[in-house]
Amino acid sequence: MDILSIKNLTFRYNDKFIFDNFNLSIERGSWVTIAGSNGAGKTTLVKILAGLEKSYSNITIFGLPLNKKNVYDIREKIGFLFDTPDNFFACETVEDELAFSLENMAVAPKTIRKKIKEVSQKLNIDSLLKENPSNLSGGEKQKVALACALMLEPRILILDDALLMIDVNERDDILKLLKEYNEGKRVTIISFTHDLYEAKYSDRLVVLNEGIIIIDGKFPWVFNEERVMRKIGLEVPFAVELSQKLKVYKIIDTLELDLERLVSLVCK
Amino acid sequence: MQVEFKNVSFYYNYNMKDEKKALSDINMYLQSNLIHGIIGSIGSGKSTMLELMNGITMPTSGEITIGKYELFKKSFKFNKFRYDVGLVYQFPEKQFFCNSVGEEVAFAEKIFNPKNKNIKTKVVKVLKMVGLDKTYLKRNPSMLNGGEKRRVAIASVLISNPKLLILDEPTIGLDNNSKKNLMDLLRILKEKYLKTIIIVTHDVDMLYEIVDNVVVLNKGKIVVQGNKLDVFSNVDLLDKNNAPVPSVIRTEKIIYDKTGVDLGYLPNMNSLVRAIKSAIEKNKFEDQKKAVPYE
Repeated sequence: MDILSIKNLTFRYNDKFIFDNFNLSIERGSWVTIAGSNGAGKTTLVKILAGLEKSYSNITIFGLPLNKKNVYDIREKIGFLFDTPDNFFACETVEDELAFSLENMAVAPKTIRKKIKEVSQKLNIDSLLKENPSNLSGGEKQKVALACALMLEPRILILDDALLMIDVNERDDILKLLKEYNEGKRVTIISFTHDLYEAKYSDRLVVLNEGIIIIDGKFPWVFNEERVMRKIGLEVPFAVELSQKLKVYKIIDTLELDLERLVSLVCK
Repeated sequence: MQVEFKNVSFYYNYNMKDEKKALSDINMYLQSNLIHGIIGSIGSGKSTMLELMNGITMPTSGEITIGKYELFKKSFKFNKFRYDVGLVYQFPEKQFFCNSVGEEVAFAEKIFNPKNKNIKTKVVKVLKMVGLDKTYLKRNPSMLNGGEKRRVAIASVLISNPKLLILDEPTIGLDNNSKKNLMDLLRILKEKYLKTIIIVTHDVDMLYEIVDNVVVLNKGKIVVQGNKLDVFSNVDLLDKNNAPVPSVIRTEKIIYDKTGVDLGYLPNMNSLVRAIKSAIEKNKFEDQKKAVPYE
């Protein structure tokens, strides 16, 4: 069943069409990565889904049409995460920041404390709880922002390049954690990015270019279209690019996302 | 323009309740006319170091010398220093406020050098340096794509002709083509315009291709610094300190651990593919596997 569907979306900035008759539907409980280069329409789509941009369309989320009447109800159940979390922090400490939205919903302090402990441990930010968010580094801020979104137990998590500043070493841990939420709690994840590495964890990869879906499929099949991806400026993960090149020399015959596996195939 | 740190430490909120150590006892020397990279895990002090270099924050203790400037000494003059050191922030395009690219780029020159009557020629020259032509002058910066915006931001720093260019995560948020163009631009700035460039980043694959020297930070301390080959070849040390490792080197390391074959210095992916191909043709992987039990 579809948790989100966009039908006949038309949107333009001045006289430039960003989307013209765009359609997309996303299944409940799935993880969809929407990739595209700069200017493909990713952020515009996020803004439209958040109800921040007016568009001509038929969008339904949780079965409700996205309009003035429903937008607040819908937003309550969606966690939005943007690329620069700086603009969003309002409190003196990370702990207050995490508690902020739940306090506004009049949740009991005991429950809030329990939740803070749970979420901060999962994201490995429990040592930062007493810090001022403005003193944190870019990657730490993004982790705190993610924690804030998870506190509310959203049904849909929409990430707009939200893991950009997180270290490569830590990225896998965060993605695995998101996968846990995705599979265990059936949180639908829609991730807008140009880092195709996330395809490793997602159920579906959609590639946008100038407001049109040009590739839509599963890993590893989608990477057969690697040339198209590179042409529109997407960065193909290192292991995929390397396996593609080794395939040309007939050293291996599959595409791999994992370096270890790739090397075992090469050295067998 | 060389950069020298002598016993530099920095604390956020020094002497206050929520004091936090960001850098401790940093000693380093960055030569002029090279590209230097600063890497480290999140919260290791990269961005703080960069703010110190630009004189935005004052070190809690220690001395910083950049070219002829001794920062925060009595003789130190900020306005001249600002002219010589250009800082490009993370997402610099978010600071745009003019209606046209021409005005945006000219802004610093108008302030530093109000008597200059040839600002327009200078703007055109700087735009050419970053690979944008005259047609961009009248365009609205907010309507450009990510890569172009980043170029305009770099141009608006280059207008004051800085000898030292500091970039904080220059490739963040850029797609692959824009990234490649930016790397070419940085190379040209170093080779043709003789700039010293310092890049703070966690995009090590990009860094590995263009950088000369690397400084690795962890928890506010320098773990290792020096030539990129010396630094990156020490994968175990980098892993121990949560520092990122370039994918080419990571692959070589996995191959070495599995088979004992050392593929040597490989500057990029194409050379890696060639090395693997020739190793397979010469049956190196097979030979080494047989050899290991007898060692």
